[in-house]
Amino acid sequence: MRCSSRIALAALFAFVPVFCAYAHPHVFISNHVAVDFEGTVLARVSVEWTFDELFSQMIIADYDRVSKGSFTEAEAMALKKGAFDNLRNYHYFLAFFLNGKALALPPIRDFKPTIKDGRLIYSFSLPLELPIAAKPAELRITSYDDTYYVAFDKTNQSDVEIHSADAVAAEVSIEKTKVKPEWPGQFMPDQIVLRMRRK
Amino acid sequence: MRRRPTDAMRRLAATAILALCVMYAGAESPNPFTSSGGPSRMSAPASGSIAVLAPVLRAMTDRLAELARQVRESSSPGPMLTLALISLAYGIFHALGPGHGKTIVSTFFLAEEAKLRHSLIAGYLIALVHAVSALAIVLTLFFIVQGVFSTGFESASRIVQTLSFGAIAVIGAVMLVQRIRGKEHSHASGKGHTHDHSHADDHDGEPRQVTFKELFGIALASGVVPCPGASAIILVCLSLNVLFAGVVAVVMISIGMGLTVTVIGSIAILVKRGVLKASSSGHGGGARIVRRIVEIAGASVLFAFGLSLFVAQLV
Repeated sequence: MRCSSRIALAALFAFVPVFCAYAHPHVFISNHVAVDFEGTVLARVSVEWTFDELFSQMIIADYDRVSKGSFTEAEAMALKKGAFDNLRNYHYFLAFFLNGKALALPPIRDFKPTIKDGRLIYSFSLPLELPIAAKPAELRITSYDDTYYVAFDKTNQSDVEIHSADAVAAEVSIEKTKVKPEWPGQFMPDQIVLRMRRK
Repeated sequence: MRRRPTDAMRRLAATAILALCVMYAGAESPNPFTSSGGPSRMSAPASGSIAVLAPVLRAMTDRLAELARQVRESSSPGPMLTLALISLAYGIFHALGPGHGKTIVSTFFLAEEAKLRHSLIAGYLIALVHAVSALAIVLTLFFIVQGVFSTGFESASRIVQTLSFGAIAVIGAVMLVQRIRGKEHSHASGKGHTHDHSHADDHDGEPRQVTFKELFGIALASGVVPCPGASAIILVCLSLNVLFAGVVAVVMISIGMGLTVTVIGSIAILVKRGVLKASSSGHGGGARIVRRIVEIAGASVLFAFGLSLFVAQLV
């Protein structure tokens, strides 16, 4: 084999795509979602993430320095800055689809870190303010991390709560994601599907 | 009977090598919570098959933290033994994901002349380097820097990772240049027939074998990036005042990772051996050409992998 063909061969192999491996999770979250209605408006979606023991203990060791067992206001602020705010680069692991169309992510409100049974819990809410008409509407909520550094536990129907839906008929189900995967064997998270209409 | 390697055989060989290299490539992503910035450009996608494993990894993660607490509270060796075993399993499973040196080791062994025991040595050098590096980084952050550990760790591992990708690119480049310039005494005649002037490389005699120094270089470059899981468990043990348990856990996680890497390295060595054997039946320069292809491919992927990830870290 001549030198030029060896260089050509090397160049060919240098273009082998190098990002085809599959990621693996380091942090685990069990997800709890509450949907609040105010009259005929879907006012907000409140999210509660309970973390695995290891990540919980790391963050608790870092931020619960004074009170031991709960976060003071200053500690909660520091935690938000150091271990939550960066999630804006990750759409807070949330995506909303209304009748098949993506919704812009509403601002994050009421972020609060707590500790329960040694587990770290993040809770926050997103004011969606969706008016519900008589025509049936379908809201799909997906929780996932594109990089799969974080894995969400499998969502069950019991992880979703509906509050004050007196003027609205709402029904929850957990369904497979309909989108076609971009890679063969790609992980597609389940979605929370909310079918609702004004009563 | 005189047989020359067929085109089909060469295609098969190339496909096997490509599959091996591509399958394991990819970078470890930053922690979305405690890093700054968005997903890494070279982040690996999520796979359905790993989603099946996620509950297992989760159970292990929870159990590790729980066992660290039990070690503190109990004087019996039970929790410590369980901690050691689960750490080992965690290391084995965890290293199946991207990062952890699988691409590096597999391409390195395609490009090198190595025996199976070399992959064992590489695996354990990586384990050693990883354990020392993870402990050094965590202890430095905990006792000397004393800042917020989770963000400090992200910054430190990013720096270490960038240096490691740079080192891998350099090792890959050096190997690639060596393989391209490689001494070859054959003289191809114009009739497409290769006259074989006998020399060591062609006859399974004693081709130059990989040295300990080279194995250590590759182990240093690939093992030095600390696994976030291993670091979290040391931190948890430190905050519980059971540092010894943390050391045991990280050593066992590293050994588990080393085992996985050894298996991957061995597969690369066996694939190369199989391909060379398949192409060397009969006479002719087939085996030598296939060896060159395999070695240049390995070095080239290693170089491209290191360089692209190094650049992705910087931009």
